[in-house]
Amino acid sequence: MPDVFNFKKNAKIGHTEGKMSVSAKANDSDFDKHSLPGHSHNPLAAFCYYPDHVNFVNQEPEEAVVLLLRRHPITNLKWLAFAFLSILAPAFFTVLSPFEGIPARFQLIFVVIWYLLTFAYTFEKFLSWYFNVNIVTDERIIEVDFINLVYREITDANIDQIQDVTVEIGSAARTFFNYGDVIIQTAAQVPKIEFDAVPRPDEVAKILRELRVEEEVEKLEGRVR
Amino acid sequence: MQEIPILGVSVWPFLKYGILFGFLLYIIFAVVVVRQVKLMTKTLELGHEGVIKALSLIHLIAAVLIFFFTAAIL
Repeated sequence: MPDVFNFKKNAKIGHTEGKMSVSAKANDSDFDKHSLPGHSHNPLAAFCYYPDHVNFVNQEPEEAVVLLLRRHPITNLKWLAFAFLSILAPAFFTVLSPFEGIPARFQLIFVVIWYLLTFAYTFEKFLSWYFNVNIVTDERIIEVDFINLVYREITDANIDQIQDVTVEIGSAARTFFNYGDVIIQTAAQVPKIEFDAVPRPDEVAKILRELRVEEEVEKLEGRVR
Repeated sequence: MQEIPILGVSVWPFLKYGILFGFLLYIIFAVVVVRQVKLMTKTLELGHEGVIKALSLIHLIAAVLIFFFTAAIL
């Protein structure tokens, strides 16, 4: 039986019998999530199975985070390359003839401005990647989108509202690096939730399927929270 | 010193105040970034918020220091 099913089953027993908190379960030797495949301690991991220390706004006290997903790191290559070239660019400023006619102190300030803008661009891109996450808990799927500097969008749907899960891997790069889109049709107010460019999309779909089965079993056994 | 030919005035003081105004706008942007990081870390706790908060604060402090540095040397 797949790990997620066993793990979650044990977790549910914990909920019903001892009202164990998520953190208590994580510390319990029976729930050795650190040895599960896909579990990672890397803070920049794009696929983390039963992650440590992940909490989000509106999280229920007994809700356990099963999966934390980000866009695959390879999707950052474009802006990383641009940032790298931007860091090197001031070395070539002196070659440009208009730059030579500018007083030295202005030249210095222009270079400082250039690096400030490069940092701002890189930091914003990093924040966008780091905080735009998809979370799968034992009860819900959540999509967190920070659209721009001040606008955030959080979409969620209950596991039992999932109607259909589609995996799309549409290019050579995506096939090679094993990442793609997971499109989830739901019966919730938001009919579609998309996990964009996430690593191991097939495993994500499998975990969602197992959670749906588990939710069905819970309903039949009357163990719904 | 280069001058605007028609007016016979040096271009550099104008450029200096233009740059300082740009830096003021940048400081506002840096404040917004600090607020944004605060909002993001409030929404999501991923275990390494301290580093990101520190980076956004260093960025703001650097922007303020560079503003004064620019005012001093230009």
